[in-house]
Amino acid sequence: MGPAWLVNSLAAIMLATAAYCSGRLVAAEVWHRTTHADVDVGHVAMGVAMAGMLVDSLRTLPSGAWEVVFACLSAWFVVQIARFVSRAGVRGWDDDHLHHASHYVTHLAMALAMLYMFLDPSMSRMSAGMIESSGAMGSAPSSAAASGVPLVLAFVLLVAAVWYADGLTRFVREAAVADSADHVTGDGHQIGGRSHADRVEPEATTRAVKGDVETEVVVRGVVAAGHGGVLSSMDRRWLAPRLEIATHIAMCVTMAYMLVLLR
Amino acid sequence: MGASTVAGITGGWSWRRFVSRSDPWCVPDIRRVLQLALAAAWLFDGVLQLQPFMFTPAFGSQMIASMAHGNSGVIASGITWSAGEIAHHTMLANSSFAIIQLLIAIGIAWRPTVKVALALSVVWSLGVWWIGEGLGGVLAGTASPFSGAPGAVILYALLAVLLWPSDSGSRARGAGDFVAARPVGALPARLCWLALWASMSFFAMQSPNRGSDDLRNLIQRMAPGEPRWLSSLDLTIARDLAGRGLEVSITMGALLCVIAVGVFAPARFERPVLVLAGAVAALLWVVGEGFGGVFSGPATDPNSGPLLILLTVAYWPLAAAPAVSHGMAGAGAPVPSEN
Repeated sequence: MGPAWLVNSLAAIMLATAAYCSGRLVAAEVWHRTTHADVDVGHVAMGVAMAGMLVDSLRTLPSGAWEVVFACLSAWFVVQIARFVSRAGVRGWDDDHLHHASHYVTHLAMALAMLYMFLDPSMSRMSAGMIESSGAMGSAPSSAAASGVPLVLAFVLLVAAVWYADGLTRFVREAAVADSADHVTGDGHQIGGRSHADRVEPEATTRAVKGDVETEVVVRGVVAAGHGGVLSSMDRRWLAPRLEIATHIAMCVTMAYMLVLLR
Repeated sequence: MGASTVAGITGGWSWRRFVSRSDPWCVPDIRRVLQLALAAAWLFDGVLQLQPFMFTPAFGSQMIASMAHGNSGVIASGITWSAGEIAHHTMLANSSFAIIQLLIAIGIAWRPTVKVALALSVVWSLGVWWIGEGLGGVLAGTASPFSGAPGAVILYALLAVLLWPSDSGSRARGAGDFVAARPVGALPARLCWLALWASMSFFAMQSPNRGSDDLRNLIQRMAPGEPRWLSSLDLTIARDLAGRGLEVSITMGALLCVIAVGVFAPARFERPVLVLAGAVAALLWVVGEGFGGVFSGPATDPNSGPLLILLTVAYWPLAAAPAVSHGMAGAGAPVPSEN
């Protein structure tokens, strides 16, 4: 008996992640927030594609279409990395103080891993049934295994997942953001309400640049919800950076699992 | 009031009692980076545990049961009984194993739970060392550093102890300090190093491993199923080792012995010894362990090579630096100023 429950669960998680990232795109448009739309689009594509790989009945696009999608995404992230590095350097932060170059590198690796999986003939036949039968001890390695590339990609993605998980505590809950806002602007500016959180931003940013750790946490918590305007609890919850990170982790681990099966 | 409010105890029962206070996030320092590398290794193990083969009765009846071979009564009977139970309840057992490893990985990676996860990893590693690795063949007389002795999983436990987020063993951070010394002190950490590498030296030279063709056979057995580039490397090395098992075993044993005592040598010799340790660990991983067999079969971990390299980094002498006294000791240095 094979792990059909596992395959179905992973497919469900991928669909939920894709649905959430679609929601992020809509929410960002409706509430006029600046988010990484390219990353969200990538997650939607990867989520739907992986669900289709895991469960036959969830297949959507015809053969060849996904290859084009992920080739385009890979090229896009290559361009983004080049633009980012030329603007902020290898170690610099993005305008939103949330990401640096590794963010795009990770998504490039994810897009390439998807492309690799679709181009490998053994993976294109993957379904729950195939997974069940592919684990025979001592079975012949696939063509992909002959190169070792799937495991290398899997390990890169798992390292990225761990790195993202470590970054989860960079962000604080909205209640703590409001509390900390008092602390940050305590020099004559008592701002405690969440509706005023955006007023913290300029001063807090200055302090963060000077290396004020706690302020930086706050800045990231506030800025994460998007640039400009008054933050509402709804958009802060829906666009919370911790949720975004959780989607990265789910994507990376699921993709790594599929790559391990490919070997 | 800051982020700690969120993780604080608010009265009554709360799961947050079991996690650390959430201190301000800091850029990971060397110890935190090593913890994250350990978490990545656990995550990789967890994913490998989810391979379809592990969900078949053969995981218990073949893979686990074979670990009893050569072990004495109590050790072997525990393995045999566990193998039978795993084979009878494969789905439940293997799902639990995978989930535990994934939880350990995520727990180490998520800062508030790092201590809980490291503690769990020690307990889990000791159990797996017995049941899943047959104590690495140490008592069976079959242990060889070329096949991962004294066992990869015991290194997870050792790393969890040496990377514990506490500075109680270190009086001051100065020149000569190293990460592994911080929780337990420099001398106990060095004694752990000595015990590990000296035991590997002993295993390299014990009789089952020093036959003229023992090493050649061991390496040759790794080749089937490996990627072409790795199998051709293994077969070439195996061919060159034919009839030279004794010389190679003695040379390897001497090298491992030098590494074992090297951490007690004067400071100027310490770094070269650690470089040698890293190189030997890489050699053992590639040639002897075949990357833990992850390319070729239903491996459950990448074997001891990468863990030995992690351990070596944990003993690398650090430059003198001012002490950082954050609540989350060792979580990381503060975000550096950009001015």
